[in-house]
Amino acid sequence: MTLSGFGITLSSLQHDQIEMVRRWRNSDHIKRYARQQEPISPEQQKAWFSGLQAKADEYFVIFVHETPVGLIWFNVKNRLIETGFYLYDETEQNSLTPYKIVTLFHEYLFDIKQFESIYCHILHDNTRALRFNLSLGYALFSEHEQTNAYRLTHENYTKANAKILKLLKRERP
Amino acid sequence: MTQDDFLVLLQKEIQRENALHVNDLLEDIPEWDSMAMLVALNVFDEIGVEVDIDDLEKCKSIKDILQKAGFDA
Repeated sequence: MTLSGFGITLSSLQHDQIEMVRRWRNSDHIKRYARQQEPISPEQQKAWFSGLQAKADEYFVIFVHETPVGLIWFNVKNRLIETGFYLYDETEQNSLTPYKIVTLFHEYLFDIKQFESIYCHILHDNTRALRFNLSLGYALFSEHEQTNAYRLTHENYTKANAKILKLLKRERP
Repeated sequence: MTQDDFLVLLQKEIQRENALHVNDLLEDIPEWDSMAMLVALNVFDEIGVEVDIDDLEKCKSIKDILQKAGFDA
Protein backbone atom coordinates (compact mmCIF):
# COMPACT_ATOMS: atom_id res chain seq x y z
CA MET A 1 0.00 0.00 0.00
CA THR A 2 1.20 3.52 -0.79
CA LEU A 3 0.03 6.90 0.50
CA SER A 4 1.34 10.02 -1.23
CA GLY A 5 1.19 13.79 -0.92
CA PHE A 6 3.36 16.90 -0.28
CA GLY A 7 6.33 15.17 -1.92
CA ILE A 8 6.08 12.44 0.75
CA THR A 9 5.34 8.76 0.14
CA LEU A 10 4.44 6.26 2.83
CA SER A 11 5.00 2.76 1.51
CA SER A 12 4.19 -0.52 3.27
CA LEU A 13 7.31 -2.05 4.82
CA GLN A 14 8.84 -4.78 2.67
CA HIS A 15 11.11 -7.66 3.68
CA ASP A 16 14.13 -6.21 1.86
CA GLN A 17 13.84 -3.03 3.99
CA ILE A 18 13.86 -4.64 7.44
CA GLU A 19 17.64 -4.55 7.86
CA MET A 20 17.69 -0.84 6.98
CA VAL A 21 14.91 -0.25 9.53
CA ARG A 22 16.79 -2.31 12.16
CA ARG A 23 19.89 -0.14 11.67
CA TRP A 24 17.79 2.99 12.00
CA ARG A 25 16.07 1.69 15.12
CA ASN A 26 19.40 0.77 16.77
CA SER A 27 20.98 4.17 16.09
CA ASP A 28 21.65 6.28 19.18
CA HIS A 29 19.40 9.21 18.26
CA ILE A 30 16.42 6.91 17.60
CA LYS A 31 16.66 4.39 20.43
CA ARG A 32 17.29 7.28 22.84
CA TYR A 33 13.55 7.99 22.72
CA ALA A 34 12.27 4.42 22.38
CA ARG A 35 10.72 2.45 25.20
CA GLN A 36 12.99 -0.51 24.43
CA GLN A 37 16.59 0.63 24.72
CA GLU A 38 18.33 -2.71 24.02
CA PRO A 39 19.64 -3.13 20.46
CA ILE A 40 17.53 -5.34 18.21
CA SER A 41 19.36 -8.28 16.63
CA PRO A 42 18.86 -9.37 12.99
CA GLU A 43 17.11 -12.52 14.23
CA GLN A 44 14.72 -10.52 16.41
CA GLN A 45 14.01 -8.22 13.47
CA LYS A 46 13.23 -11.13 11.15
CA ALA A 47 10.95 -12.72 13.74
CA TRP A 48 9.17 -9.38 14.28
CA PHE A 49 8.62 -8.93 10.54
CA SER A 50 7.31 -12.49 10.18
CA GLY A 51 4.70 -11.63 12.78
CA LEU A 52 3.60 -8.64 10.69
CA GLN A 53 2.73 -10.58 7.58
CA ALA A 54 -0.97 -10.44 8.29
CA LYS A 55 -0.80 -6.70 9.00
CA ALA A 56 0.81 -5.34 5.87
CA ASP A 57 -0.93 -1.98 6.18
CA GLU A 58 0.42 -1.10 9.62
CA TYR A 59 4.09 -0.22 9.07
CA PHE A 60 5.22 2.25 6.44
CA VAL A 61 8.62 3.44 5.31
CA ILE A 62 8.65 7.21 4.84
CA PHE A 63 10.12 8.51 1.60
CA VAL A 64 10.89 12.16 0.98
CA HIS A 65 11.37 12.67 -2.74
CA GLU A 66 12.14 8.96 -3.12
CA THR A 67 14.74 8.85 -0.32
CA PRO A 68 13.82 6.63 2.67
CA VAL A 69 14.04 8.77 5.82
CA GLY A 70 12.04 7.04 8.55
CA LEU A 71 9.27 4.75 9.68
CA ILE A 72 5.67 5.38 10.72
CA TRP A 73 3.22 2.84 12.09
CA PHE A 74 0.12 1.99 13.99
CA ASN A 75 -0.83 -1.19 15.78
CA VAL A 76 -3.71 -2.42 17.84
CA LYS A 77 -2.94 -3.17 21.50
CA ASN A 78 -5.74 -4.00 23.89
CA ARG A 79 -8.19 -2.61 21.33
CA LEU A 80 -6.39 0.75 21.32
CA ILE A 81 -4.75 2.15 18.19
CA GLU A 82 -1.17 3.01 19.09
CA THR A 83 0.91 5.05 16.67
CA GLY A 84 4.49 6.14 16.40
CA PHE A 85 7.07 7.40 13.98
CA TYR A 86 10.69 8.41 13.79
CA LEU A 87 12.84 10.19 11.29
CA TYR A 88 16.27 8.65 10.92
CA ASP A 89 17.32 11.61 8.75
CA GLU A 90 17.89 14.31 11.37
CA THR A 91 18.02 17.11 8.80
CA GLU A 92 14.27 16.70 8.30
CA GLN A 93 13.36 16.95 11.98
CA ASN A 94 13.17 20.75 12.20
CA SER A 95 11.44 21.24 8.88
CA LEU A 96 7.77 20.94 8.01
CA THR A 97 8.33 17.37 6.85
CA PRO A 98 7.04 15.83 10.11
CA TYR A 99 3.75 17.66 9.63
CA LYS A 100 3.47 16.54 6.05
CA ILE A 101 4.10 12.93 7.10
CA VAL A 102 1.57 12.81 9.91
CA THR A 103 -1.03 14.75 7.92
CA LEU A 104 -0.93 12.00 5.28
CA PHE A 105 -0.94 9.26 7.92
CA HIS A 106 -3.72 10.73 10.04
CA GLU A 107 -5.92 11.11 6.97
CA TYR A 108 -5.38 7.38 6.41
CA LEU A 109 -6.16 6.47 10.03
CA PHE A 110 -9.17 8.72 10.54
CA ASP A 111 -10.68 9.13 7.08
CA ILE A 112 -9.93 5.74 5.51
CA LYS A 113 -9.56 3.33 8.44
CA GLN A 114 -12.26 5.34 10.29
CA PHE A 115 -10.63 5.07 13.70
CA GLU A 116 -12.33 7.10 16.43
CA SER A 117 -9.17 7.81 18.45
CA ILE A 118 -5.48 7.06 18.26
CA TYR A 119 -2.81 7.06 20.95
CA CYS A 120 0.89 7.59 21.30
CA HIS A 121 3.39 7.21 24.12
CA ILE A 122 6.02 9.85 24.76
CA LEU A 123 9.01 9.62 27.08
CA HIS A 124 8.92 12.32 29.75
CA ASP A 125 12.05 14.07 28.50
CA ASN A 126 11.10 14.04 24.81
CA THR A 127 9.99 17.67 24.74
CA ARG A 128 10.26 17.93 20.95
CA ALA A 129 7.80 15.06 20.46
CA LEU A 130 5.51 16.44 23.14
CA ARG A 131 5.33 19.89 21.51
CA PHE A 132 4.77 18.33 18.12
CA ASN A 133 2.00 15.97 19.21
CA LEU A 134 0.20 18.58 21.29
CA SER A 135 0.13 20.81 18.18
CA LEU A 136 -1.56 17.93 16.31
CA GLY A 137 -4.39 17.93 18.85
CA TYR A 138 -3.21 15.11 21.13
CA ALA A 139 -4.11 15.50 24.81
CA LEU A 140 -2.77 13.74 27.91
CA PHE A 141 -4.63 10.47 28.45
CA SER A 142 -2.74 8.66 31.21
CA GLU A 143 0.50 9.02 33.15
CA HIS A 144 3.04 6.26 33.66
CA GLU A 145 6.51 5.88 35.07
CA GLN A 146 8.56 6.13 31.85
CA THR A 147 6.08 7.54 29.38
CA ASN A 148 2.74 9.29 29.28
CA ALA A 149 0.00 8.24 26.89
CA TYR A 150 -1.66 10.85 24.72
CA ARG A 151 -4.88 10.52 22.79
CA LEU A 152 -6.01 12.18 19.58
CA THR A 153 -9.76 12.04 19.06
CA HIS A 154 -11.41 12.36 15.68
CA GLU A 155 -12.85 15.71 16.75
CA ASN A 156 -9.48 17.18 17.78
CA TYR A 157 -7.81 15.72 14.69
CA THR A 158 -10.37 17.48 12.49
CA LYS A 159 -9.81 20.87 14.18
CA ALA A 160 -6.02 20.69 14.22
CA ASN A 161 -5.78 19.21 10.72
CA ALA A 162 -7.86 22.01 9.23
CA LYS A 163 -5.36 24.58 10.54
CA ILE A 164 -2.36 22.54 9.46
CA LEU A 165 -3.71 21.91 5.97
CA LYS A 166 -4.45 25.60 5.56
CA LEU A 167 -0.86 26.39 6.43
CA LEU A 168 0.55 23.66 4.20
CA LYS A 169 -1.65 25.11 1.44
CA ARG A 170 -3.17 21.89 0.35
CA GLU A 171 -6.78 21.36 -0.61
CA ARG A 172 -8.45 18.30 0.83
CA PRO A 173 -9.45 15.96 -1.99
CA MET B 1 3.80 45.89 12.87
CA THR B 2 7.39 46.74 13.72
CA GLN B 3 10.30 44.34 13.48
CA ASP B 4 10.48 44.20 17.28
CA ASP B 5 6.74 43.42 17.50
CA PHE B 6 7.24 40.58 15.02
CA LEU B 7 10.12 39.15 17.05
CA VAL B 8 8.12 39.32 20.29
CA LEU B 9 5.16 37.63 18.61
CA LEU B 10 7.34 34.91 17.14
CA GLN B 11 9.09 34.37 20.48
CA LYS B 12 5.72 33.93 22.19
CA GLU B 13 4.34 31.62 19.52
CA ILE B 14 7.33 29.27 19.58
CA GLN B 15 7.05 29.24 23.41
CA ARG B 16 10.52 30.60 24.01
CA GLU B 17 11.43 32.36 27.25
CA ASN B 18 14.40 34.35 25.92
CA ALA B 19 14.14 37.10 23.35
CA LEU B 20 14.95 36.43 19.70
CA HIS B 21 17.67 38.54 18.09
CA VAL B 22 18.34 39.39 14.48
CA ASN B 23 21.64 37.55 14.33
CA ASP B 24 20.42 34.35 16.03
CA LEU B 25 21.00 31.21 13.97
CA LEU B 26 18.00 28.88 13.88
CA GLU B 27 20.19 25.88 14.63
CA ASP B 28 21.18 27.54 17.92
CA ILE B 29 17.58 28.09 19.03
CA PRO B 30 16.42 24.95 20.94
CA GLU B 31 12.77 25.86 20.34
CA TRP B 32 13.26 26.02 16.56
CA ASP B 33 11.76 22.68 15.71
CA SER B 34 9.04 21.60 13.27
CA MET B 35 6.38 23.14 15.51
CA ALA B 36 8.20 26.46 15.38
CA MET B 37 8.20 26.25 11.58
CA LEU B 38 4.45 25.72 11.58
CA VAL B 39 3.77 28.58 13.99
CA ALA B 40 6.09 30.82 11.94
CA LEU B 41 3.87 30.08 8.95
CA ASN B 42 0.87 30.98 11.08
CA VAL B 43 2.50 34.26 12.13
CA PHE B 44 3.13 35.11 8.48
CA ASP B 45 -0.51 34.29 7.81
CA GLU B 46 -1.64 36.57 10.65
CA ILE B 47 0.37 39.55 9.39
CA GLY B 48 -0.83 38.98 5.85
CA VAL B 49 2.50 37.97 4.32
CA GLU B 50 2.59 35.18 1.75
CA VAL B 51 5.62 32.98 2.14
CA ASP B 52 6.62 29.95 0.15
CA ILE B 53 7.18 26.90 2.39
CA ASP B 54 10.34 25.94 0.52
CA ASP B 55 11.72 29.46 1.03
CA LEU B 56 10.92 29.34 4.74
CA GLU B 57 12.65 25.99 5.09
CA LYS B 58 15.80 27.47 3.54
CA CYS B 59 16.05 30.14 6.27
CA LYS B 60 19.10 29.74 8.49
CA SER B 61 18.72 32.73 10.79
CA ILE B 62 16.20 35.06 12.40
CA LYS B 63 17.48 37.70 9.95
CA ASP B 64 16.36 35.44 7.06
CA ILE B 65 12.94 35.02 8.68
CA LEU B 66 12.60 38.80 9.13
CA GLN B 67 13.51 39.42 5.51
CA LYS B 68 10.88 36.90 4.40
CA ALA B 69 8.39 38.85 6.53
CA GLY B 70 9.31 41.97 4.60
CA PHE B 71 11.49 43.67 7.20
CA ASP B 72 14.71 45.39 6.27
CA ALA B 73 16.80 43.34 8.73
